[in-house]
Amino acid sequence: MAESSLQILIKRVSGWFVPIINIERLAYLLHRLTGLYLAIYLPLHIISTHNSLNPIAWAQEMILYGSPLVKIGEVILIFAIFFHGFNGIRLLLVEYFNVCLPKKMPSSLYIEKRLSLDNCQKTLLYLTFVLSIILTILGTLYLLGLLVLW
Amino acid sequence: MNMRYSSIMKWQYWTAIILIVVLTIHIAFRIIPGDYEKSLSYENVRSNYSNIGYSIILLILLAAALFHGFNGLRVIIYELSPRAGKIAGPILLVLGVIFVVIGLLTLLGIYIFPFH
Repeated sequence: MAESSLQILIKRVSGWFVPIINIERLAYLLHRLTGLYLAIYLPLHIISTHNSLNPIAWAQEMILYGSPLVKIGEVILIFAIFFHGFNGIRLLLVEYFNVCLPKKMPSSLYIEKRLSLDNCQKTLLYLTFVLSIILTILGTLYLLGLLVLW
Repeated sequence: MNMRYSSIMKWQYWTAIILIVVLTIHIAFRIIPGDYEKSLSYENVRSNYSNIGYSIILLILLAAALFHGFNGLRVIIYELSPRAGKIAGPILLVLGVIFVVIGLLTLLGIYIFPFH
């Protein structure tokens, strides 16, 4: 029996999630999800900042910003910005500037050991996660007013 | 067609590099007041927009983020369904232009609607 378009779509999207067998696959999934989150957030942010033209509308906007649901959305936003940014820098370094690639390419990626598992690339990957998590924690504290800088 | 696609993807990388710089400045402007709520006060936001240099940064951020975000969305839709991706392309382009105009009006608002 032929699959419907919806079934094909569900199968393709679920393909992003399985199998999460390693940290690289997790980075791929998170890059997609954070990218989608940011792409949806961006138009909303542009519309919401447009309210800054009117002080009354802006005051109402700030009441909305204080709601727990928006705060949760902002914490996810902080992680999305930092993870998508740091992982994007990592991808640019590796794919565009050839950082962490071996000087001599192996004859076959499938026969020899997987390039992406080399130490240099793994370090970049772990750094992406560590920096994103640390900055998300700091950003969340700042957002909640628990971290006042000066 | 391939040439055009490759050129769009090159811009995807270039806007990524631009975004790293301008988004860092944008975040810095939220951090400089030292307090998140203070940074979002009406006076502070309006004074940010009155800074010509920062407004230019915001304009670059607006265009780069919309291109990078909407093109990324188009690529994901295309990968899931090439037919839907072809339809989504022009729709996202029009939406992108509309949001650039809205953002531009916000930035120019300081000159059109001075402090209340």
